Amino acid sequence: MAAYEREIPLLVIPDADAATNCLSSVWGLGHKLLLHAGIGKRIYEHTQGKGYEAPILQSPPRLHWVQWQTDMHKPIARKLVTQSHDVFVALQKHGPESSDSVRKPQLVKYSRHYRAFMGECVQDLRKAAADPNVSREECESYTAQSELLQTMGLIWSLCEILFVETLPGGVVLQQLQDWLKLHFTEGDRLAREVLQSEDFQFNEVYWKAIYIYVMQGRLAEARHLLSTHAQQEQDTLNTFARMDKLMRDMPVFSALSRQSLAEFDLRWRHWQDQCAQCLEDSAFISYHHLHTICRILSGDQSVFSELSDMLGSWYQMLVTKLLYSNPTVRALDLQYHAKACIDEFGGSSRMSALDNILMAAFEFDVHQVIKASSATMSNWWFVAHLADLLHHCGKLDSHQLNFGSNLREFLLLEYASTLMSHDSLWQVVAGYLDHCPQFGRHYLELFIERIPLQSERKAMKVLRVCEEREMTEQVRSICKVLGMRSLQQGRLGSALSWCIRSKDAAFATVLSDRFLSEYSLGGGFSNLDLIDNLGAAMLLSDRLTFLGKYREFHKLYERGEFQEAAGLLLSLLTAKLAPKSFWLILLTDVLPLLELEELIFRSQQTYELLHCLNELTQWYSSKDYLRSDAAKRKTKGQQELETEKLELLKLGLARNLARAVQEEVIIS
Amino acid sequence: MASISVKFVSQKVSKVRWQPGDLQGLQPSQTFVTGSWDNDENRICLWRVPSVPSAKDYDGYSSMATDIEADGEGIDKEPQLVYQEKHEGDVTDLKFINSDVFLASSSSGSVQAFKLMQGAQKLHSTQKWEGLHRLRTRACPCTSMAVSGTDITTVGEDGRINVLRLDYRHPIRTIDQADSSTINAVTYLKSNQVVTVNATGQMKIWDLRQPDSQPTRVFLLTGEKTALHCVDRHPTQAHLVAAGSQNSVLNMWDMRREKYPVTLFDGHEGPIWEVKFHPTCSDHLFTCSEDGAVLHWNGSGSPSASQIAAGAQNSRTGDSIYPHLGLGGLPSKPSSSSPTSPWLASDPTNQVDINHVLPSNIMPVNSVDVEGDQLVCGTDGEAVFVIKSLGLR
Repeated sequence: MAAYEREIPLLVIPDADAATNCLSSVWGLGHKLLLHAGIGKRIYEHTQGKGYEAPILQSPPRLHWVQWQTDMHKPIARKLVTQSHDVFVALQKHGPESSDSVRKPQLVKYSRHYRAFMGECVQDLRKAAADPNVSREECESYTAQSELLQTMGLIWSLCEILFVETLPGGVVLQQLQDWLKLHFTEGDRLAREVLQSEDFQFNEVYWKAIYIYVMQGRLAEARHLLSTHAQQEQDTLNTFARMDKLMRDMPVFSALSRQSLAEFDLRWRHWQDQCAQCLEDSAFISYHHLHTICRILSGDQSVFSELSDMLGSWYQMLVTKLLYSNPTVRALDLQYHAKACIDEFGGSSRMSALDNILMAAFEFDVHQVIKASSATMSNWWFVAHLADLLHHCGKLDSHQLNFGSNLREFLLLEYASTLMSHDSLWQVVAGYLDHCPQFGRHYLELFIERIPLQSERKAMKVLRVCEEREMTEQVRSICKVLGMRSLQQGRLGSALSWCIRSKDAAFATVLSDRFLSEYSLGGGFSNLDLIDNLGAAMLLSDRLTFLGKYREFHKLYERGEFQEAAGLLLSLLTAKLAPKSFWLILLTDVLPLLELEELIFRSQQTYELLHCLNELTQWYSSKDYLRSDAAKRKTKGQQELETEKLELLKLGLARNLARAVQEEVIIS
Repeated sequence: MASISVKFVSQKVSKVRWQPGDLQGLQPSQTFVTGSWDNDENRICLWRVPSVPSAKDYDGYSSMATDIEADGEGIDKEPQLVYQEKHEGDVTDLKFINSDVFLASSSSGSVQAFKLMQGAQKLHSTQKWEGLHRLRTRACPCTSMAVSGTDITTVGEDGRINVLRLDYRHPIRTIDQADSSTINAVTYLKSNQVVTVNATGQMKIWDLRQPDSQPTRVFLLTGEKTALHCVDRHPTQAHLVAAGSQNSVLNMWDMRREKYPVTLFDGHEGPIWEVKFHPTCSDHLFTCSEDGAVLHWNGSGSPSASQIAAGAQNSRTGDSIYPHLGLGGLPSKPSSSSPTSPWLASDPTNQVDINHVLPSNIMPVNSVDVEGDQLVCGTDGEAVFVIKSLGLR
């Protein structure tokens, strides 16, 4: 959780075998590696020339999962992940570029949402860290993460002011004041401390709170605090009242007011002249603290240096200084004023990473902001979402990186990758990859095939993700996996239903063959509920059609509709839907029909049957058949039975022919 | 007016169930349970809804945005976690037997009974049936349960039907190859008679007293044979059964007729995961789907009669914002055109009005439960939504 300095993380894998055999690794999903002691370099060199030699391990090898950048996997952070995902998806619907002003308020709203979620997450983390049941390490990690999120929030708000919520005229000071108020709450904390304390004292803390309020431009709060001062009541010289008046009168520029900038400037100058006059008159000289406040109000540069400890940082000083010397400063000029403040705080050599990021923002160098943030923060959430938002504001020119995609896409992909290694965030990952035009689809295709499918419900959901994106290849592969799994578990019906779903003709043929061989081995048909109701799905493959039709024949036969049954059977034979190996079974089914009182097969049909019988006999003696496994596996008894059946058929058909011819003659 | 509160729970929610309230919903329940799925460690959680009617409106996220400075104001109105318990495997179904005891089924093929202790402050596991659903040696998910008195029917991906009885250690009845594909859902029609739906679009009626393992009747989908995921029975008209399918159609069967559904309702854009008749206002039906929508199918005809008259042909297209429903102001009157149930009408679009319950949700909704005037639903976006004051009549 290094927030500012990037250190190279070092992780020791506690595996004794690894010391001698080194580690081998395999990639997991996203940021995940599977490590094991394997064929290390030393062993390899040792056995070179002598061929491959398996390493001898002291103990059974152990597998180590290594994951990194898992900040976002913790339960508290997952809330941020899912919430921001919703906003991200909504934001994408707004389309890129935003030269028109209509879309801006919406973008600001999105930006606020993101910040709100960060804020909520900070709250949750603080609450979790304060829980007495958590261990010290956990508590530390919560605290570190909440600090990181606060830093992110600070940068985000500044970026929002400078890049997203740009007001007409470019006067930003009001927003910057709010920025300080929101993120630097030292003043509020001190004020609360003073007001709540038992013995209400006008000590240094009291004044410090007032100074901070004044320097942040929160004069209403400062006045309130000042009004509680005891000497207020014996204020014979009206010193306090005078200060109060000065503070009350300070003009405030608001972009939404009808005031023109020039008008405001005039009023403001007049007001500051009054402050300067007071200073000259030494009106507050008897009250040291009020005097200092008056110096601040009149924009005395030296007082800021004196109070730099209280200001804390150069950017706080920047806002304060501008507030009391140049309140109409434009956003573009901020960087020049910033330089002076940085010098005040030790020059650019003493800048931390955060300082650099903020400075880059003041310089309107979006790329530098993102680059520095991704280099120093331990997760991709921030940069990915910020880059995306700025892209939608039209502030991030599509700068091609030398490995293909642009910056926004690169960051989104990185962020998605950190989520991939989590078991259950795959739907969120898909949401992000959808909006990476160049590589997103490719990533998703590879990712989705690797999601473990523990239940059919999950499989259905993964399939839906694929189907929505028309990833037919993946749909087929998932259905195949599930179909094969069912098949291995001996559930032909379930396998068939998966196969029908993906319209996999080859697999359907394999499965139908399994059903048929089950039947020919005397087991009858299983899974009747499915086969009987195949409907149009039957047409998926010829073999499946045959299976369905053959089952229909059985049903007709059972119901005693012999004429229809016979017709169907004959068409199955003549249309060559049935595999040759199954012909004997079909012809055997003819036998009882021949023995019925009523004549079923007319002469023409009998000829056709004879023709089939003939073809079958020929096939049995053909080379193709004799060479096949089926022929070799046949026992003597089976062969005899076969011949007997063929003889019987010949006889039966001949007799039937005789009957048919006779009857047909009579009718004609 | 309908008010929506949302709670992010950091785990994908597979099931939500209200604890049955007293007096048939006159005293609405304030406690519900949720089960999670697809997490490295799944949980069953017990939640309490604060009794003060929540005023927090969930229009987009604007209320949250204002929370940033208000230091989480309104948090006390969200459902509060009371107790949680680890659960082996995904929670695939939750069913209350009575107001204190509920069952949880697992993707590891087992079913566990829990008792709510100390005024619904704690959960205590009272009984567990292991390995009810398995394939060869491997465990396989139990997908759904149905309860009638103390009898429980469970179904699973192995196509098996088990009948359990509370306090009996072993199933009192098992139908081994009841179905050749996965049975996705089950519900009781009357005692000893259950209806199941499977992954190939079939609905089967089973008489559990019959010794053979054949269904007494089979119903089919019209058209393509897509999976059916959920089934529910009309609370008063036992011959009416609704089932939601993979291809987003809500099918309504009339058991008195043969085979095919009588009415098809279109409204969702993804697989329907759960369908629920309102237990007391049976003209209202709720469904949730993978497309992220929770739909309220209003067959009572009255509140939005004006809408239909105005020619709002398809209430799906616009943003049918939920509160409209309660604003109707028209007294409930017997619908002149439908002497029979609205669910069986020949032209359902004129009889049944569709409203979106969750305006801005995009993540799949796995489960919905309704009790009295309030509804709870859980999503893959790791959120639980509680909607109060539905304004049903």
